[in-house]
Amino acid sequence: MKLKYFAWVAEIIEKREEEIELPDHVKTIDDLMNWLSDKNDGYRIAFNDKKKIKYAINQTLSKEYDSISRNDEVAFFPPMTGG
Amino acid sequence: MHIEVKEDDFIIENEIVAIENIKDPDAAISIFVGKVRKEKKLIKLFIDCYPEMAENEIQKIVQNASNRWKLNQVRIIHRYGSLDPGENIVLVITTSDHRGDCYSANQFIMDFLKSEAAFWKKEIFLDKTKWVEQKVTDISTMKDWQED
Repeated sequence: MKLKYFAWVAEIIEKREEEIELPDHVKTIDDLMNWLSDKNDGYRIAFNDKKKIKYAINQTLSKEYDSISRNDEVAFFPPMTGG
Repeated sequence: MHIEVKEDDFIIENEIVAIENIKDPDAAISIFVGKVRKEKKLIKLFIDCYPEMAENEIQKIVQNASNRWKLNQVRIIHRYGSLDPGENIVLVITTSDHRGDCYSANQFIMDFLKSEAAFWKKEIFLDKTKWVEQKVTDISTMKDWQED
């Protein structure tokens, strides 16, 4: 699975993107955030307040309990501030 | 519909020519240009972007505007990367047979671009850097459109 990070989320995690092997028990965005948070402090800090994070599955804004699968591209970022 | 998400600057006059360069000119053209504010101590504005998602979202916003108002052409350019104060950030041109439609659609598109398109601004001041946070008023402005 390809993961992408933007804005301060990328700064805290210190990555713009990465490829991961999705474990079988990680079935939703929420599962993914919890699993990543257990890996190191960067993820834990970035995902600490889930209200401050938004996510997209295959470039479409998604919800916490939406299902994910191995071929998806999942992105994490703060609320948008364009214009 | 013409949508560009890119680092390079745009020349406003060229974009107007691109809109006008057709056989039957539209009766009404609205042009909005957003620029980097010239604030005290602001050195740069960095705009992070998820280009594929930004383009998808902008298309949806334009589709919603087209369902609501009678538009002939829409031309949108949104830049990302490192910008100086005074530089162009965003261009929205809407054209229609009537001014009401192109004015309202232009404002609608800009209001949704601010909070729904995948861009994130970081202000770099002389003495600090700060990611811009989404404003409550930006969300309420979008809700106002939904309640109209």
